[in-house]
Amino acid sequence: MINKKIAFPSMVHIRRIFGEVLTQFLNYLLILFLGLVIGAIVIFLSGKDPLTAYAALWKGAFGNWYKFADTLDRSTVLILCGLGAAVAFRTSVFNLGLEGQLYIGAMAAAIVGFAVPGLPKIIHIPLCLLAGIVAGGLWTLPVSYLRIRWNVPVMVPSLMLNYIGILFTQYLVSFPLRDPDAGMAGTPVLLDTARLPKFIQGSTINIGFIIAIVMVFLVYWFMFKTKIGYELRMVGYNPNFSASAGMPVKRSTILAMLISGGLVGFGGACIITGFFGRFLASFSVGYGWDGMMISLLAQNNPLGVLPASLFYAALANGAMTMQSQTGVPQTVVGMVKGAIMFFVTAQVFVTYFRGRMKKWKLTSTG
Amino acid sequence: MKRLSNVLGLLLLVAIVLSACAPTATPTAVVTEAPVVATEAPATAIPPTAVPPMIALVPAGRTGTEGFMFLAGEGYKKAAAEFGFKEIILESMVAEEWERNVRTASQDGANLVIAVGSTMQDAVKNVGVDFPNTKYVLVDSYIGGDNVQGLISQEQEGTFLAGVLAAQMTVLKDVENMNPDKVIGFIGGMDIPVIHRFLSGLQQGVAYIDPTIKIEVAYVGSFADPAKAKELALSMIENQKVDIVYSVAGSFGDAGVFEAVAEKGVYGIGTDVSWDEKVPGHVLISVLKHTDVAVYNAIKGYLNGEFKAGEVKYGLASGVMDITDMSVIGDLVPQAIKDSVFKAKQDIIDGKIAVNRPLR
Repeated sequence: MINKKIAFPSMVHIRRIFGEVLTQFLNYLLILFLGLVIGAIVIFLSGKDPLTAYAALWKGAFGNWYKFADTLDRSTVLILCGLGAAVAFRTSVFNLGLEGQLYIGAMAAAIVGFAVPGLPKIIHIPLCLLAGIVAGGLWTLPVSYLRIRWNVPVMVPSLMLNYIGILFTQYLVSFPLRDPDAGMAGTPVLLDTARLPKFIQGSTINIGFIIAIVMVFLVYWFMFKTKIGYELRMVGYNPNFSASAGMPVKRSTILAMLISGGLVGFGGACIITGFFGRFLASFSVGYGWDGMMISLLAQNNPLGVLPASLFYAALANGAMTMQSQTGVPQTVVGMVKGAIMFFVTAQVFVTYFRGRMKKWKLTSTG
Repeated sequence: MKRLSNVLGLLLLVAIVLSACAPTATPTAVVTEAPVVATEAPATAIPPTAVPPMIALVPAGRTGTEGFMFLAGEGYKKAAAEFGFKEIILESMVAEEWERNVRTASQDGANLVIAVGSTMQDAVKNVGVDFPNTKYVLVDSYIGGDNVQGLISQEQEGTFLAGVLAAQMTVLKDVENMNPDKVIGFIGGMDIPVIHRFLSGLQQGVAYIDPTIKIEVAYVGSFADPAKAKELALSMIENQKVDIVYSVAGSFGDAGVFEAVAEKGVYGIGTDVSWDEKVPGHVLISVLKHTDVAVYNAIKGYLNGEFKAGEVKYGLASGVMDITDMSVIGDLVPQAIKDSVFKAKQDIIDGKIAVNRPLR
């Protein structure tokens, strides 16, 4: 495994790591290719030219600096949701409530953003983001409580809390927090001091993306280089063993849920303060669900979340251009994503490449 | 190993074959579906001396399916055929992509961006400040800005007439399924200013005939939720003695409402496009909103160098707001009532009746 602790770096170790990296690289390259081929077949069957469509897709995602910056911006919330999912899944806590936590975090950030006047930017922005983190984290507590008190599997209550969270925020923007001047159901506009600073005029990219990148490395460090992170991972591998080894399994579950919800709530706060400028009812295009897919795509590795999120963001932004320029519907991109997820979870190519690596004496693991 | 390479080779072959034969297989389809293709060869349509302006249409929905959006698209296409500018249409059903689409159009160098729908107002506001040299036309709303023109239809003038009609119809005793209770229903898509304009006109029109008539109001919360719109309509008809339902819930929502109306055998009033023929015998009248004319005029004005930031109002007098002639419903509506509606229309145009526009 790529994450193995290396006590004594030697040629053997380096070759193993190189072999593993090469394995994964070839694996993803092949998966990407197959996904695109399946998409191409669908595009072709619908009577369009796949190459033109993919060219437009590329242009929409990376065509010029604006597009590139917008793609990076769109990946911000995906990165944070992906990290949230990765932390939970690593601990074998199947938190399916990401979408709800995203909405709650976003709403908390929006409330602090428009209702707390007179603060300088340097205090107001962190306060908004913090509100998102805290709200997203606290929203997971009922699930953890059910898990600890009655041993209810995390999956079901966390999934159900999605509806409660999303519809609760919808109620808030429809009645008590409604801005009557808004073009659609939403809270009042955030104060200028709560908006994340942008650094390219004409693009939406903002500080949030940089914070998200920092979070990637922070979460990686936490999960793989700290004692608590080690406990979380061990509980994830085998809770029974961890318990008999004296590790706090219950505490790890609560902690993983808190961190997961906090990261996702952070993502919600970033998209509200960075992009929308106010909370809008049903603003998310399924970012919570995408976060889970991204985490799976990254094999629950925080470092892998970064490229996976960029890939998802590029597909999403590119699909808009592809649809407008070639008339190929955006849903084709959903099929490409689905095909890729299928190959990733099936892991067939990894097994194959591992065999090859063994032959080339690049790795010893089978 | 060998089998895998065979599979890969086959896939590669398929990919090559696909990419090779696709463009020749359906050349016409590609051209018609992709108006932007024209940007790559502008020299044929436009005189080479002038750089053609680029005008983008960014609807908050799809121009192919929805009444209001469809009309905006029609106006845009008519202007495009007439004036021959560079076209770019960016459609999406998702709030986040509305702003991204407005931004994309601006980044790609559009001189004029037409955003359709009051739900677009945040998008235009956020993007407009970043591109001070680009002009924006916002259909149905106005949010300020030196480079933004808001096309405000005077919906209240059209719905006033619907109110005049409904108020007289709801008390008729000899019409099938029309109860004597003085209650009519209003189903709006969202609780937002543009829908309030529709509602306000209806209220004023009803009060003009009989102030004691009650209007039950409900909002769907979406312009694309026919199931919920139908449920609201059914609940109004069954529980609140509503016999005439006015629907402004987007073309999807309207379809749901009129399904309920037809099921229960009661009556409805349509919006934006004529619903009279689509649900014959049940839609008394439709309040037409010729967004196509407004969009066409905005483009024409821009190309003539007459773009002005601020609100542009379109009422009954301009012909953008209008009503159907009630010929489909026929004798169900007594001629005297029809005449009173037409008279009210003329009075509004002549300024004899003042219909107030709500602030929000």
